[in-house]
Amino acid sequence: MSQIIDLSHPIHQKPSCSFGAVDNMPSLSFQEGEAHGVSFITSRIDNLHSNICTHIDFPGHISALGAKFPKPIGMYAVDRFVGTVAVLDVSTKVSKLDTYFDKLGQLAVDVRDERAILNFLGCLSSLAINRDELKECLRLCGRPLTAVVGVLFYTGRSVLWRYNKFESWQYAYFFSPYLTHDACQHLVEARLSFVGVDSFQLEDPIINFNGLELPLALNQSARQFVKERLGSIERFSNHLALLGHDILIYENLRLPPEIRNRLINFHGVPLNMRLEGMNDNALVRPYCTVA
Amino acid sequence: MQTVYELNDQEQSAVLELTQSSDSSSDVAIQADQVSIVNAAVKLIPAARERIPDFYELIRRLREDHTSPGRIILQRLPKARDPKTLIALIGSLLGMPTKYDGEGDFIIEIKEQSSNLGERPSFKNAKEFYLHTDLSYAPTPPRFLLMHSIANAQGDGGASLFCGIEDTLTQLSALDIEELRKPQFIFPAPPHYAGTREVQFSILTQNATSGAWRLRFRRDNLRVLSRSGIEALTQLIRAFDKVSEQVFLPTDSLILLDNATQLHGRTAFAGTVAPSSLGQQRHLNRLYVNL
Repeated sequence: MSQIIDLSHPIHQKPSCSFGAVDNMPSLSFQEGEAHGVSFITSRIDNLHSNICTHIDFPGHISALGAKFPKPIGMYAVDRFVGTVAVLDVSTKVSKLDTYFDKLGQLAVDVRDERAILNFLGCLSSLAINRDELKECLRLCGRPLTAVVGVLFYTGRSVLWRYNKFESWQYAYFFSPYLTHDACQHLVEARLSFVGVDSFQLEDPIINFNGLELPLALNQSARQFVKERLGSIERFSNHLALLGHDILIYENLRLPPEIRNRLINFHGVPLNMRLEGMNDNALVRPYCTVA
Repeated sequence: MQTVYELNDQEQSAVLELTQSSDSSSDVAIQADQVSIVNAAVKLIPAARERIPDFYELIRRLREDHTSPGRIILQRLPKARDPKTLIALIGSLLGMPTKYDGEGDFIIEIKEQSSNLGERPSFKNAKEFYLHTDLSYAPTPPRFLLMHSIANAQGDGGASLFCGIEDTLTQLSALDIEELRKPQFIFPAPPHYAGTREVQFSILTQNATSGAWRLRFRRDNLRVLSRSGIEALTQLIRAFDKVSEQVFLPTDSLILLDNATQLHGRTAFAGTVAPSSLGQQRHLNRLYVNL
């Protein structure tokens, strides 16, 4: 007997769990449907951004890759989004940050305490997953990379999903594991179709900072630390490494703990959107079946 | 680069006397009506030209000479009994103090008045504010703006960022500049604005006669109608990062900015999240001026 599990966060008329100043709240209205003689009603959604809630990043999400991968998302074959997937448990990485956040996921560090802020920023590098750790996670799933279409990273951050905006540095949901260069390379060599994560993104969370935020504005050494780290991420980021090889990225997945370290039958096909130039993101409602 | 002008003792006394005469010439009973403050300031222009000629000439150059740096920082300003009289006086020397429908009075207090999650950065919160020009969503934005630092403690964040268009253009390709000159950018207005909900303009314009460049820009919620346009926009933002300067505006300083050639922004500053170290929160007064 197999079970079907919805892996998405629903879209509401509320802000998606994020930190940008952009207004990304969908707005619903209704119009008369197209008919003669019968009254139909049809809804329209304005301000529907393609990267809210559960969505896929395509190569065009990166400015530098747009020209290299111009095809609209609807041009991707359906089988790119379906198949056997390994769910890798990387939640122990996240637990290393527990002391920095309270039970509600809010940063519990005095932003004026320079040493504490630096310790927190330094600790973020412990979220990195290297090639060996990746291989060990795969071993627990009992299937080589060549036998799956994709991998999903279970971080346990799904429980912090809220329909609200936060400061980028203030909420634990935005701080989750990411891949080292060699781990990305390992996935690229396996020619995966996609990866996914049950948190804000698969990326070094230092990119949540641009240098102007309060903890950095109050502590110059923290600001300098971030500036240097951002310089190296500019040259290498998970997004660039994966999307640059057309490995798609599911973000804001809702992964229940019972599927970690397991193989699942994954289905995550986006709408067949072929608007010219739409090669960046797609909303999606993925689900899986497990035995 | 900006021009930094430090008032000497004689100029300081003259400015103080002028603002005090402005204080007494406007009806104290209706000082809440800023029209009286501005009217009183305008009447002082001949006296100011005579008593602070170097200072007056500096401001005249900002107004009339398109090769001037586009921003002037005045230091060692006197403490006027009502600081609004001081910014009104200096603004009147530059041009015509202006207010916009739905944007409040002539002189606006820039200080934290709210700290709601998800709020756009603005004059009334302590959030970091990306480089921008003011009233990008207005059909005709103010030509100049003045910001008078009433209270600003080093160590509380709130450093200012400035960036000139001429420096920025040196970082951009001809193709990107061409994209930024197309009227393909949609600038949405905030809910409080009384005018049109959104306007569509180019980011860059060039005067056919003088060759001088102008821009309008605000990053959050800005939309672009083409992929090539958004890619040029990302290059523009990178260019800002490269050429912007951080400047701290100490208490009793004032900056005059050409809002058509200069962007301004700020780091986050101490407020609700982290109380000010000096017990007095960052407070700037702002005035718009047109010719």
